[in-house]
Amino acid sequence: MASNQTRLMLSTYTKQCMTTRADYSANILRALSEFEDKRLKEEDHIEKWLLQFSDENQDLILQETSRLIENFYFSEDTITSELLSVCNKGLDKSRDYTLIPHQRSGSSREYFTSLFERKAGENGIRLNEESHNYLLIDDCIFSGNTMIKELESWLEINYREGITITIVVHAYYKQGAEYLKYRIERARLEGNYQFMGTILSQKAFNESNLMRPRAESHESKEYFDLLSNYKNESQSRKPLIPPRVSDVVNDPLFSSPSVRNIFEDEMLTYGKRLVETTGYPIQNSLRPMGYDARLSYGFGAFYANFRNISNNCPLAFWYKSEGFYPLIDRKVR
Amino acid sequence: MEKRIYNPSEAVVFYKTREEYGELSNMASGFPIEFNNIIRIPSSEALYQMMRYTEYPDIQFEIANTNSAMAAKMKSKKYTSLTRKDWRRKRVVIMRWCLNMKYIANRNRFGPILRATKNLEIVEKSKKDDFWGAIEVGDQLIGQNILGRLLVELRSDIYNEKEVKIYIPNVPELKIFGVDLNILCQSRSDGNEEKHKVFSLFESNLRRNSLVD
Repeated sequence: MASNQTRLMLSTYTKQCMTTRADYSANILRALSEFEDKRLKEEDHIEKWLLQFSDENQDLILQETSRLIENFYFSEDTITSELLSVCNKGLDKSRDYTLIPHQRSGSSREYFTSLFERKAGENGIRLNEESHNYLLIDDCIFSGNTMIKELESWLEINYREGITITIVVHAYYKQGAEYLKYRIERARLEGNYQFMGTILSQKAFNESNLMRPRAESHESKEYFDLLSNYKNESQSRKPLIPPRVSDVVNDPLFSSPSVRNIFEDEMLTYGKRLVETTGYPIQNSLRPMGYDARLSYGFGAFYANFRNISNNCPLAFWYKSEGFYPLIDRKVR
Repeated sequence: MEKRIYNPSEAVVFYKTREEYGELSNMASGFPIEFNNIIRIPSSEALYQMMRYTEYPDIQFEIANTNSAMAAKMKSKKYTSLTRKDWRRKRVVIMRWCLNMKYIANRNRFGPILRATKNLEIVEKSKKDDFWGAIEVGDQLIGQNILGRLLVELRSDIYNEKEVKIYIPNVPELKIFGVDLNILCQSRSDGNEEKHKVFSLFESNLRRNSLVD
C-alpha cells in the first residue's frame, strides 16, 4: 500500500471529527443571518428553541432543521436571481406586460412586485401600464388561497376580454398551484390564462414535500380521532385529510424515512400543544403542522426566505406564545 | 439457535438502507464509529468485517478505507481464508459489540430510530441469509434473525439503563490496526496524556506494519 495514501488516511482518521450540536446551530444561524430578528444574534437562541423538545430527539431535530434550512430557506440574492432567470426564459420579450399591483402594504407581493419593477428593464422585459398581458409576482404559492383572494378581487374590477395573466413565483406547492388554476379558470378566464409552472419546475414542491405525520404514533392517532370526531359531530363540509400512508424514499426534505417519522411526530406533538393554548383545537385554520382550512394535521410546508416564514409551516418553527420560544420570528405584515 | 417465524405486520422490518428503518442495517451510511477521537471506522459493517482479521492490520486498513459498507464487505470477501479461527463461535458476540459501538458513537441519531421501534420485534429481511436475518416465505419472514434480536437486546438496554457503556467483548486478541481494544477503548476521561500514549502506540504499530513511513 502506498505510504502517502496511508498517511492521508491516518490524517483523515485523526482530524475528521463529528459534526457537533454547536456546528449545526452555527449552520442555522449563518443561513438565517440576513433574517430580521434580534434573537438570532444571541448565542443561545437555537438551544433555547431546541430545549423545548423531548430530550432524546433534540439532536435529530437540530440536524434535520439544519438540513431543512440549508435546502428550503432562500436568501435575497438567490430569490432575485432565480425569479429573474424564470422571467428571462419564460416571458415573451416582444410583448409588453403590466404588473398587477399588490393589495396589502408590507406584503411579500409588494416587495417582489417592486423588486421586479426595478429589475425588469435591465433584463429586457418591457413594462407598460396598459397592456393586455398581466404579471403577478410573489415568492411562493402554498395553498393558493391568498393569491386567489387577491386575483378574484382584482378581476372583479379589471377583467376584460382577451387579457392574459402570468403568475411568476419563486416556488410553489403543486396542490396550491392546481387549486389556484382551477379557481381562475372558474373565473371565466379559460383560454386566456397562462401559468408559468413549467419554468418553475426546480421549485415545484409536491405532496411528498409536505410534512404530514403517519398514523403510527399515539399522538398522531389521537389527533386524527379528534379531527374525525369533529367532522362527524359538526358535519363539517371541510375535507378530512388522512394521515400519511406511503413511505417516501429519497425525499429531499429529510435524511431518511425513519427520521422523517420521528421529526413529524415531534412537530405534531408540540404544534398540537400550541394550538391547544388558543382553546380552539379545531374551529379555526390553526393546525399543528401549519395553517390549513381543511380538517388536517396542517399544511406542512417548509419554505422560508429572508423576509419571512409562512404560517403554512409547522407551528413549532414560528408560533409565538407565552410558553413557547420560536426558532423564526414570523412577521405578520 | 432455532429459526423463528415473524409476521411482518407485527414487526419492524428493515431491508434497504434508504427505506424506513434502514438505519438499523449495518449497511447504513452515516453511522461512523470513533475510538477515542483517534480512529474512525466508517460503518458497523466495516468494523465487524475488520474484526475477522485482527492479526492483519493491513487488511483491516483496506476494509476501513472504503466509502460504503457494501464496499467494506466486498473487500473483506477477498480475504476470507485469513479469517480468525474462532470467528464462527465469536461472531455473534462481536456483532453485539459492533452494535453497541454503533449506538455509543451515534447515540443521538441511532437512539431515536431504535426507540421509534417501540416494543416491536425487529427483523432484518434478507433474500438468502436466514442467520443474521429472515427470509420471506409467503407472507411470513422465517430465520434466526440474529441481527434483529441483537438490536432488540440493545434497545432493551437503552430502555432499562440510562447509560449504555462501552465494553470489550470477551474474545482474546481483539485488535484494530495492531492496537488492543482494551487500550483503544480506554475512557477519554483519562486525559490527554493517556490519549497521546494510545495514539503513539497506534502510530508505532502502523509503522511496524509499514503502513506509514
